[in-house]
Amino acid sequence: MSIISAKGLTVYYNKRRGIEDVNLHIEQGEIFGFLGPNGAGKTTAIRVLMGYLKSTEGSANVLGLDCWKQSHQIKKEVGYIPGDLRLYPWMTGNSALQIFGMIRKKNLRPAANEFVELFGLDMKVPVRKMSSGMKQKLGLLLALVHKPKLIILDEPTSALDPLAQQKLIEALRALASEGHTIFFSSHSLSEVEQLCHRVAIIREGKIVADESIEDLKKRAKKLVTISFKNEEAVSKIKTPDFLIDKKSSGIDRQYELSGTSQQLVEWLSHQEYQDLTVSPPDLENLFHQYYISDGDEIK
Amino acid sequence: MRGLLLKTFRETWVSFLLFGLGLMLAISVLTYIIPQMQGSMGDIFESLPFVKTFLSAMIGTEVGDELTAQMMQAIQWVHPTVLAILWTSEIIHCTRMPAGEIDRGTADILFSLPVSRRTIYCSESLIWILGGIFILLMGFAGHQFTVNVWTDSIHPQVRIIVLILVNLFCVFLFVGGISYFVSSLCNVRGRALGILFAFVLISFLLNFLQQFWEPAKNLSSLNMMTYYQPAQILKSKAFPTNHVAFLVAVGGFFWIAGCEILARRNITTV
Repeated sequence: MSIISAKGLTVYYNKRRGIEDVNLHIEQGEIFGFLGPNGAGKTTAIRVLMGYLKSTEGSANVLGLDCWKQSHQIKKEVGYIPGDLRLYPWMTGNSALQIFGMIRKKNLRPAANEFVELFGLDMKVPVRKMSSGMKQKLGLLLALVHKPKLIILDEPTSALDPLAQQKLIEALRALASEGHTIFFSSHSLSEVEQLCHRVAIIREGKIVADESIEDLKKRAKKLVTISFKNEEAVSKIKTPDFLIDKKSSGIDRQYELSGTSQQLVEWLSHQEYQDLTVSPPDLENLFHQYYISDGDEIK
Repeated sequence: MRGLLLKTFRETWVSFLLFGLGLMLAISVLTYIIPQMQGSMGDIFESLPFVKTFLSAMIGTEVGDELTAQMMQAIQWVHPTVLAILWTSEIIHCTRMPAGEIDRGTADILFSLPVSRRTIYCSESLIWILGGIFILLMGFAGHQFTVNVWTDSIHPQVRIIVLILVNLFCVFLFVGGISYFVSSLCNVRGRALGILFAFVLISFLLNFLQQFWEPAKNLSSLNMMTYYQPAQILKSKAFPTNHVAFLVAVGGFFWIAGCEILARRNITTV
């Protein structure tokens, strides 16, 4: 079942570009990463899905309903945390649960206990006295507590410590295994790589890649670091076609491997080297290539 | 809608209570002081003739050489303090949503809830109307307290005071309707507040200018104060049907326009 479907989504703020021709198709139970640098258009796309912005062109549906016209019906089944979360300063966790529960016509308290324990929240403290991390945790609680079919998270880990980030990732994995769909926007590759099944990369308002993490890893190249015996050995190197120079420092050389391991081993048998390290496929490098702006070719 | 009402009530009850107490105190003091000044008004008019013009402008009817008791009773209901309390309270309330919510960044959370924008608008407006009724009732209580406990001077019947309060409530609806309209067009609350305070100030100023400047008289039909004249109510003892109808119709039009703008506009980040 398709949870999110967007075709040719375009948003312009007067003449300024928001997003252009964005196509998305996300299935139930998927953890979908939405990756891009600041200002790429991640939040704009999310605001269209949430019914805050009307698209200039194209259409967007969530759970089969139109994001603009049927927005409030969609929100019954959506949990959302904005990138720049601002909660009401007077609100405590308890009063938030009471009010949100009345609006959602659900008793949220039993389900909330699980998240309160997970995040170590004090539900009696008003938001104005909370640290930014605590506010973020309360925001997450309010986005997840009604067990929505779709969870849209816009850079949710920005204010969280590493331990809380890990707990969140585990909680999201558990929710996805129960059939909840997660739309996870981030500019951090590592957390997307750790959590998501599929990732779309947005750059300058356009989707430049949309594929599974596994496929991306296959396309990503391994990093090879070789420590040669001495300067003389370094001076004799004739770099083969399957190695691309990345860094050099003294007798150490770092390459990107575009060929096979066998080719590498054969070539090394003719070199004077003392150490070799082969790192796993480097997604970071692949993403940097996507992030490179104007004038550079997208690979 | 109950949850939204509870949220809005929690955020606004203190300010409504304070404005209500303020109006009660102001009306109470004015009800006590103004009748005592009646005797000395003739001398004041003689030494400071412009005061007569100001008073005429304030109560919306020509003041002769001497102020009648009836005219004096009208002053407290058009006194700048009373109007300032009422208008400030509602301009502050009516610009909370959407301008205030967008401005402080809480709109993203509010509009993520499964309720339509029109429902949010209506729930905010319901609290505004109930708050306005509360503030005016506090003013009425202040008046009645002074009349019955604090002073022996003659005062109009309760029925006439209620008519004035109904007219004043319609002015409240008019200003509120326009405030919601302006708020729906703004992303920055400060801008909405500035526009609205300028609007009520110009209305008040126009009311004064009408007394001695011909071009301003031509604009009197556009001035909301033309539709609120307690002195006329005290004189005729009749319900100002036309004035009330105008204020409610125009205020209602702007309120509905504000609602439709909110339902159709983009909610952006500031």
